[in-house]
Amino acid sequence: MDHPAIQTEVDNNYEAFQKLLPELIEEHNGRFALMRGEKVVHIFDSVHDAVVFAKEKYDDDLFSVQKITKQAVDLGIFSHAVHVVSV
Amino acid sequence: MPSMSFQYDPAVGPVMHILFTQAGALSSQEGRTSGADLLIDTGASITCISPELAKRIGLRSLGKESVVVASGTASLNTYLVDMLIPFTKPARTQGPEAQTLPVQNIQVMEYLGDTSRYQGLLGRDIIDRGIFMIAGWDGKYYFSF
Repeated sequence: MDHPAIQTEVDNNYEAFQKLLPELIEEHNGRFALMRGEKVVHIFDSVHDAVVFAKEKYDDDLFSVQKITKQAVDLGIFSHAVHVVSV
Repeated sequence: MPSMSFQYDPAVGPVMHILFTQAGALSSQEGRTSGADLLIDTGASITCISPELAKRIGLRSLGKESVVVASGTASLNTYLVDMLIPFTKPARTQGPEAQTLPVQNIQVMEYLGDTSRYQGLLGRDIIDRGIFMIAGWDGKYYFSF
């Protein structure tokens, strides 16, 4: 599966995930959501478990995995001193 | 506990050469491996790598995460990788002098900073697994894992 199609799937799933996050946080904070077609397929305890499941189930490789958390990642100097353009 | 010590350039900071491959590749012994210099950054909560390195080893984007930036937050790609931390310099993965420590199924983030001196950041997700010390007076850093 070509990577542009995968990137589109990841981007679309992320947008959908952001809308679902408030509800997911309440019950699944810190776990990982496997997403496909802008829907949550299943919740896993680890990103590895989610990926193993998805690779077996989806031959087209169209899925993404999102950590269920409200906390943004801090990258130190890269976060606070460098201007980043979101992609 | 394996340990290593390296000289570092104070103008750049402590940089470590690490080998990366797709997650699962270490167990299956398949897939492309590529090395990159990472700045050891205790301020970074997670390790991150450049998109160019991700492409070299054939990584697909796994998801996205929200990252704090100077102007607020941004969303960046995440990848799943296996890492080999070399405890010899230069890095070797074969032969009697090879001594590498595998770290498997690590979720890393995209690094979009300047790549002229390093291609990513080694964050606390890895640093916190060991002991990291800087002897600035001596121009060396020490890492035990």
